Amino acid sequence: MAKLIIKDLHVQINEKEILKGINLEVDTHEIHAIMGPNGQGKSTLLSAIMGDPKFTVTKGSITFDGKDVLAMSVDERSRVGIFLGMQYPAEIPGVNNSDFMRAAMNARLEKPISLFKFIKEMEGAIEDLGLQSEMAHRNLNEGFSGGEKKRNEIVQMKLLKPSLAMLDEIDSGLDVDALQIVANAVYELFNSQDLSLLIVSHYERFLDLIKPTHVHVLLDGKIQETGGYELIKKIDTEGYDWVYDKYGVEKPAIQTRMSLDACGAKK
Amino acid sequence: MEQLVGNSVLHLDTSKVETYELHDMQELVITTTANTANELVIKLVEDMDLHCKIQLANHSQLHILFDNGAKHTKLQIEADVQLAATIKIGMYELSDSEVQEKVLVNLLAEDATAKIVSTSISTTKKAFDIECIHHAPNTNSDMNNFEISDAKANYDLRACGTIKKGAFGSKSHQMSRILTTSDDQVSKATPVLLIDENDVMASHANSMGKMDEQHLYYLTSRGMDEKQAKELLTLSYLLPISEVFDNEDMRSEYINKVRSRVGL
Repeated sequence: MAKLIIKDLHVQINEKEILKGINLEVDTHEIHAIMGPNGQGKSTLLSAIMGDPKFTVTKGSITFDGKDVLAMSVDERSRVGIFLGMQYPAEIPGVNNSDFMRAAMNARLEKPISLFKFIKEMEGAIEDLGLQSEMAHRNLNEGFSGGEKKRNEIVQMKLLKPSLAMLDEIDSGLDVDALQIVANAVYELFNSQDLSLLIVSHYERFLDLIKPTHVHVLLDGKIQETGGYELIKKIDTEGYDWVYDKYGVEKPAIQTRMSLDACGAKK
Repeated sequence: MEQLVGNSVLHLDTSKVETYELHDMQELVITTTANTANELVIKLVEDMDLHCKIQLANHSQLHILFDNGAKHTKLQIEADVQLAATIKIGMYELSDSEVQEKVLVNLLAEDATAKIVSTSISTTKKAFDIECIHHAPNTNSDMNNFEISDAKANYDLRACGTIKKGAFGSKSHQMSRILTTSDDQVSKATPVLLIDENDVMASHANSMGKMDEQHLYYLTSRGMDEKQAKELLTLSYLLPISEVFDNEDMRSEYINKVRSRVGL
């Protein structure tokens, strides 16, 4: 039973502090939803846990199953059971989807997976996510639609069987049917093994299918509000204004458009 | 595999799949008969200054890979492609050879097609000058070049698509991808399009630089260590050479060779 514990985490990018003291604990069989307005640090939090080199942790600690995550390389974090379904999965020309997945699975096995077993698992995962079987032979995410990329992330999650799965806006770009397929796949994995979920999403529809056990609102680089499922309903009907007001956080200024008048040149 | 010693003429009057190892040769002439389809590997195992003249008859196909394992090679390939004929030329340059290669393909009649793929890993001087000239209407050329420039590399590529007046409806595309793995190297790519006709399509695309950090991050986030991730990304630059062949055995052979060269 692996627990994620984050204490006073501060993260910056290009010398700008994004996370300003995050405290969070996620235990096995828990589903945590992270919500909040755009640009508040939700994706930064997941990326920092995974070890994206764009971000620098300046203070705080992250442990998973008692181990210091910040002392691990990105691949070590993956091999201890941390998975990130990315908001914008990279397109990598020339790297075959199957070759990539087989190498990823073998990286955490003592003995390489047999070709037969691999093909069976990969084809099964692709079918479960409603993707075309030819996906296995295409280059990694190259030419995939936004929805296909997100579903391919879940194919990878099914094959790698992590202990902590972080999903960064996995619902964006999915139509109603695809949303149900992805939610079913995530929930099936959640029920079949020791798994915790940390999900960033804006939308009630997906969270309604997943049913989080804990809901957090991340605002101005900190978790300002924590609650249960009722918090999702409140945000869906009232938005985030009440959170800004309750915690005295200044709302970002609305950009006003500047008119350049008829000639198109600034006076 | 057949050995060819001394200047030789290969007349391909039936469809075949064959590998030839060249010795002591300055000139090789290859001709095809109409309506044949051939797949050849030409192995260069000793230092050579070779002129290869290829004539493709109407409606014939030739897929030919030059597999260079010599130390010093000067190779000049000149191909004339006739009505609805297709030539695919592959240049497999994964050894530590010093190389100077010039490829000139003349698309002489309607629907003639040329596809050229070069794949190389450089730790020394390698120069490629590749040109496809469209002399007739509705002809097609594709030039794709993949290079890994390692320490001490001096890589120079010129790729030129020329569409002459009267060659309307023709298409000329080229792409070059150069991966640099050291600061101690020099790489140069010069794409050229010389177009003298209006109703045509032509394009070029070049990329040159170090491994994409975000690609490395994505692969390592799935559990591969950095070495494995770099090998997989390097493989992506080299595998296109196998697409010269339709023959599955030939294709598999070169996929395995490339994987072995990269360490996978």
